[in-house]
Amino acid sequence: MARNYAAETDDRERALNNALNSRNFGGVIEAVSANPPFGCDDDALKRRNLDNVVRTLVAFKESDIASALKGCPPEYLDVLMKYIYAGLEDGQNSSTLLKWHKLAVEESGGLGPIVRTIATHDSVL
Amino acid sequence: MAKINKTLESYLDCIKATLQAYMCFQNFASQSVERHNKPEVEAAQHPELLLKPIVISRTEEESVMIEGSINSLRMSVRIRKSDELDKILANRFLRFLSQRAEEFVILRRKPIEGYDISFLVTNFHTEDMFKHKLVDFIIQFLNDIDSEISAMKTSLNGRARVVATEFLMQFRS
Repeated sequence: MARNYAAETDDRERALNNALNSRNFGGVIEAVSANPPFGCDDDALKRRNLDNVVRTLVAFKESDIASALKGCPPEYLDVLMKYIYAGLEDGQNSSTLLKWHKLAVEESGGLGPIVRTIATHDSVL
Repeated sequence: MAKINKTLESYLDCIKATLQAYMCFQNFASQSVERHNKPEVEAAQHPELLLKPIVISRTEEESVMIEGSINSLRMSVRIRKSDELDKILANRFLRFLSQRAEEFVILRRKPIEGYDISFLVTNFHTEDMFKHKLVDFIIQFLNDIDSEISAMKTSLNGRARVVATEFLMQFRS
């Protein structure tokens, strides 16, 4: 039952790089949001995972973010929101992440992802 | 509400949405002390009553930390200070405001460690005042604070220039 977080992180890194290079935006969202590292004890691993995700999110052009988010299922939006807030903590890349935040809130139609980020203990960091 | 500062807009939008999510309170009597009613975000005694805190940073120096609980939220702001003069002005001005926290109702008397000013909003405030107006007030505060401090800096520099010119006039040969 134990999840291999290290393997998942590596898989995610590879999937993100592939999706980004082939400009498969739906694939990026999928790679970011599937198998979130909740419950992982290794902080360094979680940080590395977060860095990969943020690096990919920031590589998007602002005009592409909306189309990438279209039709995104709510579970994915929740995980994405957790990553966005984690990425907003240190102040790097804030302008793109703030755009992601705004468009994710619009796509979800309300404050749902935000409430679920603050009210649950599942954390990506 | 017209936002004057375009560069701040997405930062303030994010803070506004987050504040709206946190600002869902209900009256909650203290679990530890009989007949007491404390803002649980301040008491911080029981983890089941606390929400996950969030930090939203615009830059490394400029950020906002929002902590929430079942009956209260605390928002701490770190303001952009580009030079020594800004630091002094911001410190003085925000201390002036914090000391009059009772007048401001939702201000905290002392800012949280590492921040310049803190707001404390409780269920009693949302019972008396409109939630959306409280959020608007805080956002307007964040919008205006930067321009207030630069206005103070400009007037201070202007006054200093006049004083220095007058003083040095007497040494003119």
